[in-house]
Amino acid sequence: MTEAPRKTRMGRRALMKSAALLTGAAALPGPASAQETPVKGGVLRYGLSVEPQRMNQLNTTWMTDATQHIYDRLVTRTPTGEYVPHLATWTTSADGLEWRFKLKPGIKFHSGDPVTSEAVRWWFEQAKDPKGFFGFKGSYSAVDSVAVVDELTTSVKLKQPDPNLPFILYTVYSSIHNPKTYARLGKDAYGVSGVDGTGGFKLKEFTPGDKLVIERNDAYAWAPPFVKNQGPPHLDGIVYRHFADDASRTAAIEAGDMDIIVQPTLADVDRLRANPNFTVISKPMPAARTMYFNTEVAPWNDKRVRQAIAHSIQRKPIIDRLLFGQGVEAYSIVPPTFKDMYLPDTTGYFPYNIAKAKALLAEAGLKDSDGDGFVEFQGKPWEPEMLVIALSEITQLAQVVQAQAARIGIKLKIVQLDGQSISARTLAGDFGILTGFYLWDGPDTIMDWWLYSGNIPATNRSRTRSPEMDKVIEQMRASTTLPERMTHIKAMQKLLHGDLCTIIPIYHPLDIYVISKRVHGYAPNSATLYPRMHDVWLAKA
Amino acid sequence: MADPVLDVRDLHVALHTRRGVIHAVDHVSLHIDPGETLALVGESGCGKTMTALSVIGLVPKPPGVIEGGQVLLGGDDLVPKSDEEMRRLRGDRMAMVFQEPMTSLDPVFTIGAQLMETLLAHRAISRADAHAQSVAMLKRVQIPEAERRMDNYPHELSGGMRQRVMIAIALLCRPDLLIADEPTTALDVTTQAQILELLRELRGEFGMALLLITHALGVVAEMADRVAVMYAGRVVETAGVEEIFANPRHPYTKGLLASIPDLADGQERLATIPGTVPNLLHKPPGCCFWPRCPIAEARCRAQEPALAELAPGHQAACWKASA
Amino acid sequence: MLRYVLRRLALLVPMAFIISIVVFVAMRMIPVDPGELVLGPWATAEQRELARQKLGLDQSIPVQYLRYVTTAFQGDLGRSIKSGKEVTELIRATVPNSLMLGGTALALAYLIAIPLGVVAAVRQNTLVDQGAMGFALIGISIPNFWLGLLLVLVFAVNLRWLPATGSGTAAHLILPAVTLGLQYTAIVARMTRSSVLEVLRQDFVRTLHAKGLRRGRIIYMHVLKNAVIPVISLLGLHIGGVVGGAVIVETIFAWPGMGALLVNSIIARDYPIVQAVLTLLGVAVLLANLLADVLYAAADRRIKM
Ligand SMILES: Nc1ncnc2c1ncn2[C@@H]1O[C@H](COP(=O)(O)OP(=O)(O)OP(=O)(O)O)[C@@H](O)[C@H]1O
Ligand SMILES: [Mg+2]
Repeated sequence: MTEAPRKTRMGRRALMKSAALLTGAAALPGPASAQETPVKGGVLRYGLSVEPQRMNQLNTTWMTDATQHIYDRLVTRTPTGEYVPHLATWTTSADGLEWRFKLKPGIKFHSGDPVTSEAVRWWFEQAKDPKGFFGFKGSYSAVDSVAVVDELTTSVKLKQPDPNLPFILYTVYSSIHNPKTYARLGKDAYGVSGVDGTGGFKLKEFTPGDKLVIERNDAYAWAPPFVKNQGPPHLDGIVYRHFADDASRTAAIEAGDMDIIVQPTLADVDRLRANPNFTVISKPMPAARTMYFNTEVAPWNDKRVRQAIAHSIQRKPIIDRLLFGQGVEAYSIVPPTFKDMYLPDTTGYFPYNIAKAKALLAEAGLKDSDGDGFVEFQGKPWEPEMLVIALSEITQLAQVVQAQAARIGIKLKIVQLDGQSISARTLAGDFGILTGFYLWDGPDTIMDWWLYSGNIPATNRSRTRSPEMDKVIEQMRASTTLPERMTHIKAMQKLLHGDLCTIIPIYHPLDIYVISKRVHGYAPNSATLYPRMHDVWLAKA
Repeated sequence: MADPVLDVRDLHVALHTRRGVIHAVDHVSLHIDPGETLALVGESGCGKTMTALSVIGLVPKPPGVIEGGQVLLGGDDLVPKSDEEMRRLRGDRMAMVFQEPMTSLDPVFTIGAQLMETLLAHRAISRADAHAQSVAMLKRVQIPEAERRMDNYPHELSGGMRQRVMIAIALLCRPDLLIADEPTTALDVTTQAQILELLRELRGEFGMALLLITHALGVVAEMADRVAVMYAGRVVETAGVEEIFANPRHPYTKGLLASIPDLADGQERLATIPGTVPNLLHKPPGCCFWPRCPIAEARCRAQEPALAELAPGHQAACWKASA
Repeated sequence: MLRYVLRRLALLVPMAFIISIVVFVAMRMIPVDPGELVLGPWATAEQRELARQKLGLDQSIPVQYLRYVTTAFQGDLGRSIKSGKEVTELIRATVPNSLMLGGTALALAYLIAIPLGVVAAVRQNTLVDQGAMGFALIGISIPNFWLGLLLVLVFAVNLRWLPATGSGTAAHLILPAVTLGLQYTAIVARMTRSSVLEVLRQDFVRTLHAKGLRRGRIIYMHVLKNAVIPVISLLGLHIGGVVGGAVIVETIFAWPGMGALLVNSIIARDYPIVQAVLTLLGVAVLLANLLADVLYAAADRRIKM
């Protein structure tokens, strides 16, 4: 499975102390005049590129920005990448097998109910319930048992030490709910018609297809320590609207209908940057657009054929012309922003080289003997299908890839499908080559899912079966220190991009925010998936 | 004798079509006295309807152009009048009944509405009065259950009934001149007789002049006081009704009369003269009848004969008629 | 007439059933992994199985359909798989928007198109006619999304007279309604023009002139009433199309209507929504056609029902 659309931004299992991320963050410009005195009031209008989803992570893995602001987590992460207490402080036993979470006193749910250790216990039970729909219960696999110690204290016993637990508890997927409200509404309606969290904003209205409205929680007094505004948020509320079309989303902020939008039309980015009414912030997405092979289908099972394709890809024109410069060339699945993980050597493995590509094809027995300019396969004219998700960015990419493959004599046939059909076909193994993408803030996890033979076919849809790769992945999983883990992650890249070539990265897209000058204190950076709204305020018109 | 109600003098109407100029009404002169019925006869396409339309000012423009002549209604020339002046006269001082009762009424309005709007267009009266007068007129044209018929739509009436309605509409404002363009051609024989009978009665009662256009010489014999015979856009002979039947002078008129198998049967169409009506686009020089004329001679081919008074009230345009 | 309408209405019931069955079966023919629908791409095999059971997909199709129909009759159309909202609620939220947008667009279209078509016909082959028909040609050929973005650029981004997107006020309605209405304006104007020209050729128009009626009355009462009758039958088609077919306009203007709901739901395989919306649209189209037939008969008494 290669399409993990934007919405599936979850935490990763990685031991990512985030030093890497934060280097990126520091370089990003913040909106001007952020130092003026905040003004209270006003409703922020936010244009999304992805439809708002139900805000109940126990019943879906689809996520939406508002989830960040409606709920809090036990743990949070500072802009410098440390995991610090949010709703609770914690202590760890010497053997690392027991964690005790002690809630800060006085925290209340939106309904007014106090937050107690029972809610924490309930949360852990739900998360690890084998029959539950929680998509990330694997992350809780170390949890053995949970018990209430007193009104505010919860004890969590682990089967084995898990130094990654603070990260897991920090992601939006570990948001804390009021179990009473959850039971009252039922799991289908919870997160849709009502929520009961502790966040700085409360759910006001959710009309799918139209808008999602959240409003200030006036009782909020437990902001994370690194946030300037320790009281309730400055904003009265936020209206999220979804625009499926980039051009309309861009027009909406230019017309003054929106205060912030994500992902404007790429061709307009430079123009918007020059417009004094807006601040444009872009940061590399933890994502890559890739070519993806089914290694069980001939001739893609021959690594020389895959390598030939890798040599045929010319990335610069793709970024310049398709993305108007708004992208980063990718030679590894790991974006260069993940400095600790990224293996720079990958850029040299399969540079653009037509002659080499042709030689590899010839070696693999793919030759053009009828002189039509395209190679035959098993003596017959060959036009392999390339599945493409029907999104304009990806189909355009596929067309360029098609043209580039033609240079080495491979005639690709583009088959446009919707995400669901692609998913069904790749699960069934009914494909040869695919242009896809992932979006995940843990490229190490992606490699684990995509390449470990035990994950065939659920997440390893290329059906990569490499004993060496399996071994490296197992070592990575077992590593106990960060540097050790990083070594294995680099080894994985070396294997994948150096020889296996079952996945060819093409580019890393950018997250682009267009922010009206009315908006102050909004600072997207690589450290936060959903930029915080706590310090955001609107200048009076 | 009183002044004529209608006096058409040397009227010339040309149709400027893409294929050329058609002289549909070619220097026509005719007149009708008060209470008189003039029958205008001639083969299909000879310009009868066009003559009538130019009288009431409904020549389609384009392609029609009044090239010259006068149309005097009660001594007043209509040709120079504006559209609005003509509109006021139409339906009021002169009215017209058309050939096709099935399609001459608006299918989506009631009979009553179509009657009343005529009155309201010309008379400053209330709707109630207009309604009452319309009902009275429907009764006068012998439509049973007139009151109820007011609410009927045209498709709910038979052809004969519809023609009665058309006549009622035409007579609502008591016109001085009624033009009836083949009013019975589309009807069955019995109905034809009834409609003609009705027209005769009404003509007597209202004292209007009637321009009756017809193919049927039987109808002419029954209805007309005088007859004008048209051929290729021209009037070729005109005379009193008895005179023309007894003493036709133009070979075309003679041919027409000869083609009637039985005068009593008003249905017979005039189609048995050998040859066909000349193409009005390419009229032959000279007398336009000569190609079909049994007695044509050299002069007929070269020179066009003018209408000449052969006897009091009897004119014909034929070189050989005076002989 | 009343009997005819009642008979047609009674026919709607089996038709609605047939539509719902066709949609139901078609939706289940599409390859889809329900686990992924509910849980996203990273669901485990057992979670997928759980999701299948939860959605009732482990049952045979007839059983599933029966279940669907029985709950539907209790007013429960299920929940959106994606957003979790109740389908009835989604429909209640989008239907008025769609009707408002579609209704305004059509009203606008007909109000502009009919006079335009009449004027073009009356002034046949003049500059006015050529101008009007040129406009109609442009209206038919301009793609919706292009016009929409152009209008947004001019009236929202540059002039700032109107909001670019969204809903809620009358001002929000203008641009999407104009965008959606334009192609209908064009179609109806052309249709009206040819219809008027045909009526003008009919004998009764000459009678009306012979009666001495004013030209205005002849054109705008008699000719128009005759000419709009065939245009009315077009309305039946348009009502169906304008509600379900406004997807592009809804997307450009972020207008929360049924068209975008439907298309997004089809893409996401959110079949409780697709099922309900398609069935509803089917019935709406049938109702629109019935309405057009009734109007048609009311306008032209020659039509017997
Ligand atoms: N609108 C028009 N455009 C061009 N030619 C026309 C038009 N109307 C009539 N004509 C031509 O003008 C000539 C006279 O036509 P008109 O209708 O006056 O004949 P008519 O004697 O009334 O024939 P009928 O007995 O068939 O009614 C015919 O040749 C006809 O073809
Ligand atoms: Mg005629």
